[in-house]
Amino acid sequence: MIEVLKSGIYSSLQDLGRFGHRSSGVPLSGAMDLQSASWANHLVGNREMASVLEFTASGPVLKFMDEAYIAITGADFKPKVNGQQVHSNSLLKVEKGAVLSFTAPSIGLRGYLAIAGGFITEKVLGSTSFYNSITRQAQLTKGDLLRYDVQKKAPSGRIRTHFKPIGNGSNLFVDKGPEFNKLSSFFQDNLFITRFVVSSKSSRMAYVLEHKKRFYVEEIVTSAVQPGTVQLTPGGNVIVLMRDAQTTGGYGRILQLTEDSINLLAQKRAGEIITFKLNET
Amino acid sequence: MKDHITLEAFGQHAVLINWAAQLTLSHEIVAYLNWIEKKFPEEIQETVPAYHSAVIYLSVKVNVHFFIEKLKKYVPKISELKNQTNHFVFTIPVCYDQEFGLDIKEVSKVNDLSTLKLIELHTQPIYRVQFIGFLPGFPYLSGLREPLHTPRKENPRPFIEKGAVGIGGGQTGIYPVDSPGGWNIIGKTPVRLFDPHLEKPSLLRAGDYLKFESVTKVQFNLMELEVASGTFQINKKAYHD
Repeated sequence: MIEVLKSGIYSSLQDLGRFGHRSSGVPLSGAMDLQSASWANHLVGNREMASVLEFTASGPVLKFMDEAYIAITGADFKPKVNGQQVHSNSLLKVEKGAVLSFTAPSIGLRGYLAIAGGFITEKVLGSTSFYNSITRQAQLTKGDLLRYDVQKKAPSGRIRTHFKPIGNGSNLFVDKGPEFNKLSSFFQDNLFITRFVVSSKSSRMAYVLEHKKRFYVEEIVTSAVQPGTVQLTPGGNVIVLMRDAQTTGGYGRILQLTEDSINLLAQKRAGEIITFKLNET
Repeated sequence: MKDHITLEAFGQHAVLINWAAQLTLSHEIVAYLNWIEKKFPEEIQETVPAYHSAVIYLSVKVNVHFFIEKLKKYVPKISELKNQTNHFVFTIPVCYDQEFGLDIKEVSKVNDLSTLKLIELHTQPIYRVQFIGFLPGFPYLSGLREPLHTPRKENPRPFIEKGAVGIGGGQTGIYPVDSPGGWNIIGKTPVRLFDPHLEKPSLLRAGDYLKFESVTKVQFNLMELEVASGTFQINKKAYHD
């Protein structure tokens, strides 16, 4: 077991997502930066859909009650075991009684911890991803105990040699959304030369992008939306829906991020600049 | 069907279908989606209907543009769309007592109706469930009588209890889970609309129908106990065109 000594700003268990229930209004959820989450699982020899611990901005402090093989990926949180710095992006053995802590990263926002054997946690509607009103808790709190299947032997033969850092560019690649053509051509062109600033109001549900333009598109009759959908409100706010987004919405869907760009945006923090680039493929 | 649908890519792993608005009823959309899901079980991950539109989410390996070309060749015959799903008419008990109907006085006043008249108008129609969205299990209903249309509250409440029945603009609905919200609350149902521990977590599905039935506080309390103990039987009848 792992005891959560400090929860950090926002920590939750996440997997690839809760598929098959969007027509019941159930959000997809899943790790915000799926690439980093999948890689953490790969490093410890887990299957891609195993649950990982996602933490945000400031990491948690965790006490291991049993030994464990773990991997930490995502933003550079400078992990420490009993105060000694250890490597991210590699397989680590943690001894019984060890305390794992983190330092706020200088680049990136979210970190991932995978554990060999996987976390043992409630599966609701086919997924272990935390979500309010679906799972018992939405985020970890101090004192929580995380169970896992203790492995006595190191996972073998799964170590990938090439390192996959989190993306550090500011270009988000997009396809035109269903309502793109309802924008005036002036706004269409402007979308791709505007430098947007990530707002502090961003969350697992949506990122708000600030700008000084006056983009306009009318509201639509409510229709389905998905993670990566860029919405424009009648007031001109640009919102990028993320993993916990609702399944339907009434704002114009002007762009759609590629999967890689969702992962990239998930690592952006308030104040960072992004621009949209039209996907040429 | 062919003449009034358009297909377009919505990102790299989804297809947006739009139906010509006036021609299509929600159960026709649901029938089409069920039919297409059966035709392409490998390619389709899930589908989400809405008003006059739906999105087909594809497995990541499927090329969306090839799939759209394929879809264009598959036009169902009317007969193939028959009996794709069973739809039901649910009776949803609602207690309109002021203890639950936090805004019922205000809504009556704004619309110049007595509370009794309001309840009568709200319980008369058979509402159609257009689709589920916004919150887990939240039904978008059509059929609210015009005299009950009421603007959303200027200041949304930070917390609305699950089961609350509300009116927002020209729509009425039920909050299936605790949530913030800006609708005018006129009552509460003891019925559980969303239970994540059921295989089909949402009681209502697109294409179903429902009718509200006014119950007293005593009946409400009894039903709430029955729901909690798992003995509550909802009134549900098969729907026939």
